Amino acid sequence: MRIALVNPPQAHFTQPLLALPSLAAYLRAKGLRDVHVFDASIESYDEFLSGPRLLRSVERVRAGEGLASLESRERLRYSEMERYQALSEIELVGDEVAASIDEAKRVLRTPELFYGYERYLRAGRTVEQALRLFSAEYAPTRLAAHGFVMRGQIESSNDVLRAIGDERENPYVEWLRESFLPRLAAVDPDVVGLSVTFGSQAIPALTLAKQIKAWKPECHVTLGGGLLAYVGRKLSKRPELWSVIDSMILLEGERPLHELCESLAERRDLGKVPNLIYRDASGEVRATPEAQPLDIKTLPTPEFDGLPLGLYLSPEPVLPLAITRGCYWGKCVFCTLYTVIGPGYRGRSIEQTVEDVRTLKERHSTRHFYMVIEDLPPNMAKALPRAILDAGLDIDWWCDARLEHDVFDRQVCEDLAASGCKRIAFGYESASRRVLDRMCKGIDPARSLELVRRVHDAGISVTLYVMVGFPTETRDEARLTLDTILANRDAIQEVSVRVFYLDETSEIFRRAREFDIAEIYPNPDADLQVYYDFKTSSGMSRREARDAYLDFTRALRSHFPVFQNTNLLYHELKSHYFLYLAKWGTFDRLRAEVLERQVSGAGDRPRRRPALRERALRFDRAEIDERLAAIQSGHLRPRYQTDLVTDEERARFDREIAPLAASPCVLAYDPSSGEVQALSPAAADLLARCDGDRSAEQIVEIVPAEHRDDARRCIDQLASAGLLETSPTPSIVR
Amino acid sequence: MNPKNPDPGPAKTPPEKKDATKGARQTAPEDAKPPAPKPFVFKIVRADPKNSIDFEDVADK
Repeated sequence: MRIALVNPPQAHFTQPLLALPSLAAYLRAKGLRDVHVFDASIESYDEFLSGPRLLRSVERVRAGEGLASLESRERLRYSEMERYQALSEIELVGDEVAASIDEAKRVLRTPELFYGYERYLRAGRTVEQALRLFSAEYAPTRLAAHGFVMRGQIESSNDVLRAIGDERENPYVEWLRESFLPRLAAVDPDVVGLSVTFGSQAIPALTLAKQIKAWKPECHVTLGGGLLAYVGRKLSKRPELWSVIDSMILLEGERPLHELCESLAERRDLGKVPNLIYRDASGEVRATPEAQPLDIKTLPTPEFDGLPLGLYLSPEPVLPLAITRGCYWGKCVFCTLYTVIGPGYRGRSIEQTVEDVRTLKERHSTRHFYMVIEDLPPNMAKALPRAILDAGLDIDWWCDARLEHDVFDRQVCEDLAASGCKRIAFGYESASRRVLDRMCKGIDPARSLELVRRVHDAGISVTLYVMVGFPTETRDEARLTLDTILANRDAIQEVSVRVFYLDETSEIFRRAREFDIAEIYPNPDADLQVYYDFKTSSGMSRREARDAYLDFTRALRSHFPVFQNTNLLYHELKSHYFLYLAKWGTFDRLRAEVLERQVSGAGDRPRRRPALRERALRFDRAEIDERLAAIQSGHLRPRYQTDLVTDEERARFDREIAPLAASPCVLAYDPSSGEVQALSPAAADLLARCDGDRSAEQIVEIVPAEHRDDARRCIDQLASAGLLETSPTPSIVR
Repeated sequence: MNPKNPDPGPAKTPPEKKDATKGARQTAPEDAKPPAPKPFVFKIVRADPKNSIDFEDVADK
């Protein structure tokens, strides 16, 4: 019995997921030694983000022709603005991005280069631009660091099944067929397990399943992973699905996958395999009973062997490790994780955890770990740091935790920091005691802040999860949360804010009336729907909740160093923030030496960077960016739904939104930083006059006296934007 | 996969309506290049089509 386990695209590219290493280790421990693991996600990113592949995108997109056509118009409608935004960038930077993408990957993978912040930022920008260039080849499909979305919605099985054969808009059809399937076929598996954790993996996973069945119909294809806990049963009702897969495993996969493989090897009836949905010999779809989840103390250490650890876009692996499964609290009414993981809370012992870390550290030469847990349990918070120190493990790590006021005392915080804990993310949610009580969070907001301060004072970066729009929450309560976070921002480094979504798997969905949820609106076209729009009879409306969310995002941008300027790139690239924390030791050092770094000012005789590329445009790109962003903000779209504008919405926007009149601008690209700036004609003119011979004062004399202050500020901005050559006069980036 | 989080963006500078070309000519040094283009709106914006951060992703798994 030869088994292939595949992580299908798209998952994030900075570190591996834990599912395949856990499953592979379990199967091997049970005697199934012929197990092969593939991370098709990172492999596809690596190929898509390569010079030759991106040159093909440049040739196929033909941005120059498309842009010329749009430039011939007097006005642009919404859909034309979308294309103009994409094509103007590709026309200016496309060939340079293709030429520099391989170097960008090298920077992200090489420790000596990765921690040089300017080079890192340049590499990150190049990757973002490359993903947009690649996506344009398959428009309106969008592949990003954090997602893959296609036309249509993945809550609709019709749309999903349509997408898996769409070679024009689904980039994985060709890649899987030409690049991945031949390597999978070389292994010649009898069983292929596809692990689907995120909604973004659904279409690529089924695309691959279809190709496997076309190549080798007798190969058993089984679908598993976290997403199926939400949509598996619904998806199983589509007869078409059963032409591309043979079974689905719900919830934790170790035992069902093992028993499935054993049953197939011995040609036994699959009806005895737990947690399975399958089609029997008569063609009837059957579901087997759920088994008790395994005690994770009985599980082997995950095996990352076989995964291409060198391909991830990080300078060294950040390995995930689950020291617990489930949530020991398990009461928050909005949460679903404690019902879909396990269900049931279980933990490894401290000794096992230390051994797991030691084993993985030695095996993969890494000292960076992400503890993939819902919350660090009190016994672990107290005992694990000492155990790590006693064992001399010398690691850096981070995790999520509950705000346990009585657990995280000063000594525990100091021990955690000493053990290498660099970051803890807490579920704070709200500053309102009333809202927290309705959520069943079981925490006191005032004492939570004391805890946060202790953690921060110990030198650990603090992240808070915050939720706005919980049913019954008022605007004043949301405002209180924001004000409280801002007042304590010296002790809080990151805030992860989201709007409340009504998930049908949650407790609050079942008890909707108790939370003043007056109406729930199912989408008749979405047979895989998980999240529902709704209306409450008290508290904020959904629109008000969205506005409160936008207030949060604006405030975070203004007040938190990690969200300011180009520091955003940290967060778009996930574990990179953690790696930088580990490198600099504490957030305070990171902020002083990296985030608020000094840049050079304009100098006495400013000079335009000679390598700049400029492109005069007939329409104002800055205005287009702003308009498109404003449109997207008007939509409240839960997770799992595409954030692409639908065809119907696009047609409506084309009709209803006033078209944009021509208004020239200049797009300037600095190849040394990778940044693109949109300049008004007057700003571009000042830039052109910065020839290194004249002083700033002589340059601004060209404009009327009443505009010279603006012009002086503009020259400073040109310098801050990196468009002028540096001078010895430093200024702080703000 | 997350809802877009729009960038509030920089404050827009209102377009300059006054014709100041004449004044520019009067005050420019002799060796200056031709006068700066009207209107005198000096705007520099990072052209980033993403132009936003999904705050939900900050510490997402």
